[in-house]
Amino acid sequence: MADNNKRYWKSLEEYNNSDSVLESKKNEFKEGVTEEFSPDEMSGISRRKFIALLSASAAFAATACTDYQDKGEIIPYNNRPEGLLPGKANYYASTTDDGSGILVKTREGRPIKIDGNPEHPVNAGKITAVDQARVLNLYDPERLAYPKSGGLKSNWMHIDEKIKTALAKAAEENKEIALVSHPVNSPSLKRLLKEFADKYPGFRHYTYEFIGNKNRLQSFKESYDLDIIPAIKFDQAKVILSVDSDFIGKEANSMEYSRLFAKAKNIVDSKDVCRLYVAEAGMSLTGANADYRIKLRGDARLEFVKALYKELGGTGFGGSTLSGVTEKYGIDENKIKLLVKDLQANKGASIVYAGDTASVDVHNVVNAINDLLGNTTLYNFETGFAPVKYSSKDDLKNLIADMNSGKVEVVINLDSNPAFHLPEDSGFVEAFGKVPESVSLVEAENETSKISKMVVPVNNLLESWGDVYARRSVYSLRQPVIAPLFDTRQKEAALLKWLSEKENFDPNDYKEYMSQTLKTKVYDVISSGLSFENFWYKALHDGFVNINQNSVILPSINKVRVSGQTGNPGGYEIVLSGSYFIGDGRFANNGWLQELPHPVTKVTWDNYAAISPATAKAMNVTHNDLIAIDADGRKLDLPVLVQPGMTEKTVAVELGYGRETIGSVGKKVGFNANRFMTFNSSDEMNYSDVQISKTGKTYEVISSQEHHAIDDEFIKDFHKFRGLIKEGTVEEYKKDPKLIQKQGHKIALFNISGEEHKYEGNKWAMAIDLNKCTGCSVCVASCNVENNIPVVGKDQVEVGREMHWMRIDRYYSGTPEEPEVSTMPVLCQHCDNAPCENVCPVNATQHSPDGLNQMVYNRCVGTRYCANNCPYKVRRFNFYDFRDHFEDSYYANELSNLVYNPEVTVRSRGVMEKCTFCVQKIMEAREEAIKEGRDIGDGEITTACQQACPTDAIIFGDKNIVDAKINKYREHDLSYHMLEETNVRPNVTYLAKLKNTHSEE
Amino acid sequence: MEKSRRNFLTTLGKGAVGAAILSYLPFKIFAGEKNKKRSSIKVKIHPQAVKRTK
Repeated sequence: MADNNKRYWKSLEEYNNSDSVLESKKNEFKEGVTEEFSPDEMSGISRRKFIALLSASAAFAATACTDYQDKGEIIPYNNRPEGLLPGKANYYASTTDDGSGILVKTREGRPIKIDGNPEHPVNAGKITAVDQARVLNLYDPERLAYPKSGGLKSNWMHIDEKIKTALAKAAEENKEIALVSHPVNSPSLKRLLKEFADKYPGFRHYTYEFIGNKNRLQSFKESYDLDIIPAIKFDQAKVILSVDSDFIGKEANSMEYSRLFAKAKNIVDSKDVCRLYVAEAGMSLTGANADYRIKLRGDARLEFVKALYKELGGTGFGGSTLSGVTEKYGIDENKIKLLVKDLQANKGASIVYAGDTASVDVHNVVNAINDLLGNTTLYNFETGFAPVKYSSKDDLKNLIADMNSGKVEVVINLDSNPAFHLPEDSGFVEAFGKVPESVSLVEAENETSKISKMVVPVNNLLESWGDVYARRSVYSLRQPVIAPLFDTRQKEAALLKWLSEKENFDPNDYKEYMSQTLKTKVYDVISSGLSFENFWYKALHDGFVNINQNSVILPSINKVRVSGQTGNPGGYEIVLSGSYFIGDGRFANNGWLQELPHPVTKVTWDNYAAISPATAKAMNVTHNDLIAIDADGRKLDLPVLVQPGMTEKTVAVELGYGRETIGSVGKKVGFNANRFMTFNSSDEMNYSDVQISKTGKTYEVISSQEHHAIDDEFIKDFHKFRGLIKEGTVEEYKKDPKLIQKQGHKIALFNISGEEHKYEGNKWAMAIDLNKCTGCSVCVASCNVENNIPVVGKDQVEVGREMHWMRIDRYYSGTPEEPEVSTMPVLCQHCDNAPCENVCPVNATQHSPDGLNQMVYNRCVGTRYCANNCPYKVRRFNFYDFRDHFEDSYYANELSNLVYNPEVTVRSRGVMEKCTFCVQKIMEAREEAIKEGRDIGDGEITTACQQACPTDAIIFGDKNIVDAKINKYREHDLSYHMLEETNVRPNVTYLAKLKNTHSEE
Repeated sequence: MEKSRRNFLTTLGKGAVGAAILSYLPFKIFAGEKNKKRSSIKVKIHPQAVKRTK
């Protein structure tokens, strides 16, 4: 039977029954949430004073009339732009930097939502939270609007002239022209850079990326002499071992891998699901979804994989035995035995996958393990990654040396930020200052543009043309969906202008250039049967072109030598990784992304040093204590976050924070952990033997994990009886498919009004499969954009005023040292017996004929009784007009207003709001159905969260359609409702999560 | 000249009512040219973009 006595907890405070948690559950709102509203604090006022104030305000009002502010006019289009119908959305296919296919929704010319292109072969309609929220960057009020020279406003003519002169001088004096960028995967840009190199012999291209496929690519070169790396067929894997890989979380290609992983976990269609082992130092999203999680220090990865290889029968790498390694690092021996057994029993149907931050040596050994087990059958070279050039550390060191010695005449920073990203001890910043001419092509100011002599503003992604090899067999195209809002050029077009002899700049030049590349690289080698013009339009319409590539026959594996690096279990180590939502810092000025709670820790607006409870105890520190970390002289103070499940003596820190030169939203948010990085280490993301000491100071890190908590003080073993989370194992489910129903409630449910209300027509409902849900939060990001959710800022999140309509509840069970993690998306359940409706004194929340729990914003007077009475705590109150309140009205301006979805009311202060099941999408489908004289069909409506979910864990539909997909989930053996016993009759069904653990445990 | 407080408030009140009425008139007698709303941002669909259905 499922463990019905399992206790769930959201934080260590809750685990220890701390007073603060009990208090927060007892009180509806967090302490401080109702501050500034106490009538007691109002001073008494006399009649004389009242009349005086009235008179003064009347005088002020009259005076104000002389400063009339025009509100503008709403007039119809005199000449309607072609293809634009007011009130109707247009859609455009395009592609992101990494090649994900996107579909951009525009209203009256404004891009307002980015979703995945459903036909795209790689990401199949799903994109990351970052790509969801990046539409806000287009409307960032601190985007660069004009070129700058010497810190002053300039113009393109002046800049063009200066750059061309500098390039000519470099060529004449035989000096170097260095272009620094992130790795380039665009065939047109590669061609352009080659032409640059042909024209200027001193031209050199340098690339860097500390998060990505760099080490994996190098390992395939060393192991197989290949320049490409395969995608992994996770959907065909029976057993997966992740060696510190967050492949469904923050790593590249997480959307495709999440989809494939969810297929392998699809318990609704098959009881034969995969088993996931994760060996990791920190607590990642992938680790949180593991069936077995193995705590493994970052500096022990190599020893571990070498020992595993040996245990599985491999020879050649040497090293200790597996039992020796488990003993040295205190790894759970039982889990290791099960892992070895599973890998041996599933040869050819299992995969070992090392993370982006693992060293090349670790990747090499992992390649050898997969080769040994015959798991290379799960390599997919047909849609493998196209070759990308990464500069080596030596290349970058040479660049810096050349800049110092005066060999470099011009440095072009192509939309990157090496002054922030490259290690401080590299000396890049000092060397950069010595270069005679430097130019940064950036969308907004950054640390590198600040020290550049010239800064030129580039187009946003949505204003640009482009092409990307999404995979070696998928050629993705980017098209501008809006004309540039400012005096900007797309970065490639600027380079093209500097390369060409043409007098005038024509933004169409790069479009022509790109179409030529498409013609030679694709059109001329495939037989489409179309004229090139038609082929071009079709390619832009579809957003991608499939191209045949020669299949790759995997050669026999090379005998690779790996280092004998060993870890030190007695010392502290730092494990670095990128941020889930702001990446390497390039999205730090996006308020939606800063405010999205971390998928595991639920922290917003900060990074921190995550350490295990045992380590915290040993160091005598707790949450928010500032600790000083010294990695061989590279020092930084960081606040502590005590994270259950962390490996002892490991400090996990996310990068991308602590930006100094950026817009107001991202400036000085968090701590710049890039300071730990050095060029003098073979492993950039992992540093052993660091020194840690207490500073005695504190710093407040804000986490939303205890916000909107459900009151459980009145009942002992609340979770057990209430069953917020219901779980079992696959083995138990195979033996007894009704096991979840047996955990159910034994009360008869009845309609509170006595008479069963019949819903004629549509009756909307949602189902969420917790077996597929990974807790990635992409649904929350999508909901934020679709429904005009405001950014409130760290100070407001601190008092529980975040406005997200969806939250992902994350529960732990077990012990703080070895916790299991459960996640549960919670949104308005649109209850049939909605308790919020009964208590609203002005009928502002009521039921629609199709079963929606609706809000009438104009009626709401803000009593907040509804939020008080909601058992799910999913209602959000506007304590301020947050657009105006956040960061001195940062998002209250003409430009930022363009991001709003016109179908969704922008709520004002004093109004309650909550999930609507995307009623605007329902209405749109209904209008179409009425127009065509038919009913709304099953699957016709996709809510924003459903559309974004990379694992298709969310299903929405009309439960009155008998054979609707939603009913398959509602009637499934694993289905249950949250807080069913309250008899509120929720319309969101959850499918209980099953762990695929061994029965002998 | 002495003026009672009542008279002062009455005059002030009438003035306020008058100003309020004026501000509701369809023509804005106090509106200077500098206060006319001029959008600095021109939103324009890119003329070469190829649209499609969802």
